[in-house]
Amino acid sequence: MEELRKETYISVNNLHKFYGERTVLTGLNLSIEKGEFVAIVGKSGCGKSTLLRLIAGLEGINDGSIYVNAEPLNRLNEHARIMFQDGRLLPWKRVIDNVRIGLPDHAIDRAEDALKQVGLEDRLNDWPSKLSGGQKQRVALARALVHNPSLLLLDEPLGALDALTRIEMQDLIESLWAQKKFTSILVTHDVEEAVAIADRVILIEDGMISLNQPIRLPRPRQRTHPAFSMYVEEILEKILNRKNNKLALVRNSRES
Amino acid sequence: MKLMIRGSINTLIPWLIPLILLVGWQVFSWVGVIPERILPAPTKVLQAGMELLSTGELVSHVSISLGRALAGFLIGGVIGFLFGLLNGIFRISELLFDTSIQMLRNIPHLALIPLVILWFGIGETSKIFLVALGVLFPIYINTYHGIKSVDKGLVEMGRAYGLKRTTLFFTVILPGAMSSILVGIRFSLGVMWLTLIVSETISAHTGIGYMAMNAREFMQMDVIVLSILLYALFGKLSDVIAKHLEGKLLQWNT
Repeated sequence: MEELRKETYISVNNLHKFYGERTVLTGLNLSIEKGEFVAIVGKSGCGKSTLLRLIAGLEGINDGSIYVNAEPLNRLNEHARIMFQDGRLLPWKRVIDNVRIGLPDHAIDRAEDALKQVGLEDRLNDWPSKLSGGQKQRVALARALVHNPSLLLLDEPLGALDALTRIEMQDLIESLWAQKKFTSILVTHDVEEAVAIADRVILIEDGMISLNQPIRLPRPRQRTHPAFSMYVEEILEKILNRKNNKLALVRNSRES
Repeated sequence: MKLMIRGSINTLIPWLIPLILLVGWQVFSWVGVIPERILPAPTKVLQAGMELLSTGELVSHVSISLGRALAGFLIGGVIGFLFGLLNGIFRISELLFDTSIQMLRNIPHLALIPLVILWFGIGETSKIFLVALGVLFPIYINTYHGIKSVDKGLVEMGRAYGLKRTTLFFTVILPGAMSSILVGIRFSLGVMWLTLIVSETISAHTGIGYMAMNAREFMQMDVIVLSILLYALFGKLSDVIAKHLEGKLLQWNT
């Protein structure tokens, strides 16, 4: 198959971010093509969520730059919509009104359509407290997609869900992505999830990218595909690699 | 059908104890266990109420007291609410005002009665001033606290979804602070009645408190008890209103 050269949509150059004394990102470079689905994995506290928040424009950059659509990003990224791990639905607004946040008043049918796409058209008038965890995240997904963003940022949105609901949500996100052709970045600690959904998996270590692994598997992804578990294993190995080296070091020092 | 019966029983149960007390009071008065000089019978109190009602005295005292309560509540409530909002939202306002307000809050406002009488005399201003002062602080504290404790994640979500200042305030911040604000309102309604009773009792020539003090001069026990019952009634009434408001504004929380 011939590889199409696509245009760069996001380019992150020499990005630095620190909180007081603590350095989180040190000269990170990354470029993402239009329509690509990228998953970012790494140990907790490695800065993967920070990178996502910087691309969303929710926080300021200390050094380096981010370009979106060839324009420098220096405030809230208006092309992007972000989905948080904890859903962040407004408990005092009914489902439909949560989806309508930030929409003009007359666009109520767009909100209804978005809820239909996530399969919750019969829960329009419920309070969020009446929904299950998975349903809440479906509403959050509808709320993000109703704006037709060209960039969907996912900050571990499925982390708190049970395994079955999680697979359902992965399939839903993948099919909506395929249908609407937006660019997407998923931050996750679940390597299997990353391989199941992304075109490319990126590993962040020590504030930089230490692995950039394209996933060449046909869609929709089959978890039973032999190459699937190979990818998962390879990436896991890489994440845990340093630990192995340390073990080797300990062994060597004992022998000498 | 069964459910309906249970529902109506549940609404009656809270009134059982007041009813038993009332009946007991009446019976003991009839029998003579409670002498009339100490506590007149409920029927006597009711009779006194009817008499005062027919002369129009009761209506004028009650409406004057209600007017004072309402005026003081509105003035103090609005000031407390506005300062709570400002200090909750703007850092500079918080730095400027909060310490001073906290200092003032710790003065029992009823201790100011002698000063207030000297300043404003015993007219309307002094009572409204005291009620407003008493109401101001609970509303301030709870509004301020409510705004401060709005979930930062929700505010961030609002900003990320393109909500600007005013919309962000009305969509996220104010509803997020609402349950705390309502606690403040409910608390301040109690303070409102307390302040009014004390200030009317000490210095007034109209109002329910005055009616009671005046009755004391003439040993009209029934009128004194009537005044106390009126306060209880209005206290309960404002609580019901506050509760209704909560049910309406915090529907999502049920």
